[in-house]
Amino acid sequence: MKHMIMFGLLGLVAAQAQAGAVIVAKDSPLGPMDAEEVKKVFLGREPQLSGQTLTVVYQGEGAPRTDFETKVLGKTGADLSGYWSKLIFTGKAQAPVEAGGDLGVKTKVGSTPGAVGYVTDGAVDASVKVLFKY
Amino acid sequence: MKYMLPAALCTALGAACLAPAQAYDFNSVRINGFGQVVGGSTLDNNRQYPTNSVPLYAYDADPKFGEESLFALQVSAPLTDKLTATAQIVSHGNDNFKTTFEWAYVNYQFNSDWSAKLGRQRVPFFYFSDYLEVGVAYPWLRTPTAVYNTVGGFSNFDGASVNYSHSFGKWELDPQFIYGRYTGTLFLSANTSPANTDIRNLVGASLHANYNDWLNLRAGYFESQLTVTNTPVDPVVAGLQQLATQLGQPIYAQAASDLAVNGDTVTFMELGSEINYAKWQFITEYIELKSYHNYIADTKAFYVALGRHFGKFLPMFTYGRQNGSTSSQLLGEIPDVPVPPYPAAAEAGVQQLRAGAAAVLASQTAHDSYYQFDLRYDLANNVALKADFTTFNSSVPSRNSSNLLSAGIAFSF
Repeated sequence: MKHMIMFGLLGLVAAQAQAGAVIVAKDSPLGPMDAEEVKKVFLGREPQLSGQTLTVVYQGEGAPRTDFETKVLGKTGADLSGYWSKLIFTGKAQAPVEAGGDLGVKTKVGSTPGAVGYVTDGAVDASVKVLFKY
Repeated sequence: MKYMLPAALCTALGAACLAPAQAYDFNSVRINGFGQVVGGSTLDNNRQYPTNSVPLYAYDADPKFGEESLFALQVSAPLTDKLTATAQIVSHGNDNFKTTFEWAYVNYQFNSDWSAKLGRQRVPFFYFSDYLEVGVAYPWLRTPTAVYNTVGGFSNFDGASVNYSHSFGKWELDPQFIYGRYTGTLFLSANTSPANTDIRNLVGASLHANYNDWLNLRAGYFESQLTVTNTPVDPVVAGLQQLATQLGQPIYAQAASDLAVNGDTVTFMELGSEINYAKWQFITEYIELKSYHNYIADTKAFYVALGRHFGKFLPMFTYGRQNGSTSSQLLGEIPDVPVPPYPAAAEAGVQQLRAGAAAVLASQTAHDSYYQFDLRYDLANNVALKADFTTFNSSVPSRNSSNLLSAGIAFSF
């Protein structure tokens, strides 16, 4: 029983750790977004916002990415990969940039004007601005 | 030593170093690619596929592995905040992996909705035109032959396009307008060398509408002035013109002009739809190609496809049909017997030309059906294995029926 509670707690912790946030650089002109807007941005349908050309930053393969894709984009795996192929090879959108892990995304977002990324909740700090939580 | 390396590079690169451009951030250049390796063979001796007009790929009973294999690299470089230069370089197996620029354009992004492309790009004839060669982006091994071989391999133009993209509630609308020209070769008749083609004043528009991610509707209309030489109709046209001069009968000159493709109007219309619902995928397209005052057939074609996802597997069944017919009036313009008075030798000449014209017109006819079975397996997110079995039947006696089996791997990176 004790073990079961432990596992239950671990499960809760794990679930919480997977909550995430869509972020931009602290000084970015972009403001809060709703789920629909975030989806559009990360599916390459919003090349510009507030007069700024956007650079979409995806995380490398792993739990934070899968989590974001299933919760927010509603597309993942081969489906999402095929979707991007259509946009990239027809010039309808620029390929997203990939950054390794939360730290990589934060660095990329901080150094690239117009970059939008996502990180797990725990990685949010003063260097970034949160536009959306999921 | 540290400073010698750039100096050495400068020597190697020569003039490029003399006028150093403003430092360009090469990190902003995106390089992506895709490709496929496909092998196939017909199942009966002496049977080819396809047996009709477009030998973009041609299979027979000896397995071939290069016909539809290709490798492509796309380089996209932002020039300014709104201007991007993109080139897509493709090597085709059936062209001995010679590289060609399928796309080469600059894109200007006016704002979030409007953009314009100048340069070489795809003609958006079909639902899958834009990513015709990106095998990972569609379910079949090859897009359905019944519809996709109706334009003789015409897929690129040089010119301008204007694109708009905007969502209205759950609808996402993407109209596109194009204007341009194509000069090059196209396949217009079976078993002949490609025709020299000049497609001028190509103008048209397509509209893609997506509802809530699952329903896609598409329509397109295009027009152009077509001039074609080096086709089987050339000797007939030349013979008729000669006859007109010899006999002083303008009726033959008229017949020649009505067969030849010389700045004639050609129109193309497309309707398409794709529905992705639950695990089902349904795709259909209908096209009409109309050619005025020449020997090229008017073509109507469609296909319907239904597939269902089972995890990483996607089996799909497709039925396609293509009908091509030429105006019966054309042959009637060449009289059986020349209008008297005429020298005795002219009669044989007229009948020979009439037979020549009849053969060319008959080669344009199509009453073809295709049953296509495909299986796709997603090996990884960006790699798909595909197999296809197509059985082709024609009620035109000069065409064989044939069965084609092919398999391949498609990838993107």
